[in-house]
Amino acid sequence: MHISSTEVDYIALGASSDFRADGRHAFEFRDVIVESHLVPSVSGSSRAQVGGTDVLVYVKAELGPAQGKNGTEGVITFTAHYSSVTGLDNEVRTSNMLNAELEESLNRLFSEKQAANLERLCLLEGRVAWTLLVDVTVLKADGNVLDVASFAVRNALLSTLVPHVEVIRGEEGEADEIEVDDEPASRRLLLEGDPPVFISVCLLGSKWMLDASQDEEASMTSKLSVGVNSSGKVCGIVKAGEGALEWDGLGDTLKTAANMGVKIIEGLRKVQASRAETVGFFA
Amino acid sequence: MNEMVDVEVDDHCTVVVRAATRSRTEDVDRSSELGQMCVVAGDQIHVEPGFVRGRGTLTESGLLIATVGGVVDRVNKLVSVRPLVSRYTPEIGDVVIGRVVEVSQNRWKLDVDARQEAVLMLSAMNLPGGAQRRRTYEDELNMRSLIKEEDLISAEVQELKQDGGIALHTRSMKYGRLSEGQLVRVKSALIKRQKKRFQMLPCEIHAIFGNNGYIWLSEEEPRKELEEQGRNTETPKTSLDGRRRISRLRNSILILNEMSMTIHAQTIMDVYITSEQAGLREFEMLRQNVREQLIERVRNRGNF
Repeated sequence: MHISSTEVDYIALGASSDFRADGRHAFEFRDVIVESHLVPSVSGSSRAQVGGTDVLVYVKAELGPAQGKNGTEGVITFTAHYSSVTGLDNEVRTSNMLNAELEESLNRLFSEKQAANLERLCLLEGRVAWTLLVDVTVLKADGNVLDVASFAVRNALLSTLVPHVEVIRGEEGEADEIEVDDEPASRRLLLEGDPPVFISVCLLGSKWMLDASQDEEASMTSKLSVGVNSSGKVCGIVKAGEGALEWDGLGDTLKTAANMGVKIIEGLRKVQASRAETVGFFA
Repeated sequence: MNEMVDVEVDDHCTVVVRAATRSRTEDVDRSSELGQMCVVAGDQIHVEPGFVRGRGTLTESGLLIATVGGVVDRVNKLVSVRPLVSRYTPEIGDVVIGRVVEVSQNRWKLDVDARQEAVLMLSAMNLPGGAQRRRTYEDELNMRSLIKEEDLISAEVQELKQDGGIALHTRSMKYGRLSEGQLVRVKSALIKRQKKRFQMLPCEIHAIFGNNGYIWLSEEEPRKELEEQGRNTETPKTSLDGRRRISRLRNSILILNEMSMTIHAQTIMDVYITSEQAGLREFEMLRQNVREQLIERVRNRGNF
C-alpha cells in the first residue's frame, strides 16, 4: 500500500481531532455484515464484510489422530490466502507474507486451550479426534483484515456440522473401528464453545483507533490485535507495526478493545440465532 | 428480511452487526430495452444482420457475444461493448492524478491506473522560480526535492506513444504536488468528461476530477507550490469543518461509484445535499440500507 507523507499527515491530524476520513470517531466500527452456511460442500462456512473488506471462511472436518498431552484433544489448523483481486499490490513476496501473518495469528489464538475448546473435538481418548482445517480466503482487503477474518472464523466454527461418529476401540494390535452415521438429520453442531475474535487498535500519532481502513493502516505506527472472548477476557495479543508503545494508557486501550469484542460477539451471536436456514450466493 | 441487530451504543464505542441481505435491485428483464443495453460477459447481443463486430465482443456460430460486462454501444453497424470496470484509457489533454512509483534519471514514473505507468519528464515541468533553461545534471540530482516516491501529483496527458506509453506534463500553474486533502478512487468510466476539471464545489471544497478516476478534495485551493517555493512550504491545515465537508463529499462520491452513476459536481452535490437534509451523519451515509434509500431520494429529485 502506497501513501504519501502528506496523506499520512492529513490522516494523523484527523485522528487527533477525532474525525476520520469516512466520518467515524476513533472507536467507531464500520458495520459488520455476516452470513453463514454458504457453501454446501463443506462442514461449515461463513463470510464477513466490514466496509470494503470481505473474507470467506470454510471449515473441513476430518478424522485424525488425537493430539495433546494425554491424547484428549483435536486440532484446528488455519490456512490463509489473499485472493489476487483483493485490491492490494500483488507482489508474490508480500502476499506470501500477508498469508503467513494472518495464518500464524489465527493459529496462535486458537492454540490456546480455552479459546477453542479442543477437548470437545476428541472422539476416543488417545486414538481418534476431529481435525478441523479452516481455510480463510480474503476476497477484498480494505483494512482490518485480521479482525474481519476472525469474525468469519468464529461464525464458521460455530456453524460447523459433523455426522455422528462412533469409534470402537480396536483389540490389541488391531485398528479402531469407526462408524459414521450418514443420515443428514443426525448431523450435529461440533462446537458450542466460545471462540474468541480479534479486535485491533491502531496507533496513529498519539491517538488510538479501532477498525482502521486501508489508508489508516498504511499510516499507523503500531497496531495491537487483541483476542477477546464473549466475557471480555483477553486471550492473546499480537503487536504489529514499527512503532514503540507508551506504557501509559495501554490498559485503557486494551479495555476499549475488549469491550468492543464483547459487543461484536454479542451481535454475531444474535445474527446467528436469527438465521438458521441457508442463505447465500452458493446455495 | 432485513435482519438488523443494533448493539447497545455506549458513549464512545459503537458497532452494528447485521445479517447479509441480497441487494434489492430487481432482476433486469433480458428482453427489455434496458436488458438490451447492459450486458455481462457471455450474454448474447441482439443484432441486425450485417453487423460489424467491435471491441468487447466476439462472434460464435453467427451470434454476437459480449466478452466484458458493460454497456452496448451501437454506431451504425458497429456494435461494441464499453466495459464498466476497466483500466483508464488516456487521451491527450486529460487531467490525471497519479502517484509516483519511481524516480529515475530524468523522469518520474507514475501510477495513473492505466495499463502502463505514465512518465513525467523532468523537462516537462516548470522549475521552481519559473526559470526557463536547459535541465542540468544538478537538476537531475535534485529531482527528489521536487517530487519523491509515493507523492500524489496532478498533471495533464501530453502525448500518447506508439507503444501505449503515456507522457505527462505539468507546465501550468494549476498542476503539481497535492497535499492536505483526500484522494477518492472511483471507476474511471463514471467520471463525466467535461471542460472544467478544477472546480470549487458549492460547499466550498476544491475538487480535481482526474479523468483516470482519481478525485482530489481539499479545503485550500491546490497550490502551485512546486513552481513557487519547492516542496518545503507549509500548506495551511484543514479545519475540522472542512474535514466534515470533505468527508461527506468523499462518501457521496463513493455511493455514486457503488451505484455506477455518473460522477460530476451536480450529481455529487445532489447526494451531498440530500444526505444533509436527511440529517445523516457523514459515516451513516455509507450504511447499506441508508445508501439505497439515499439514492432513491436523489433519483426522485429528478436531476438524473
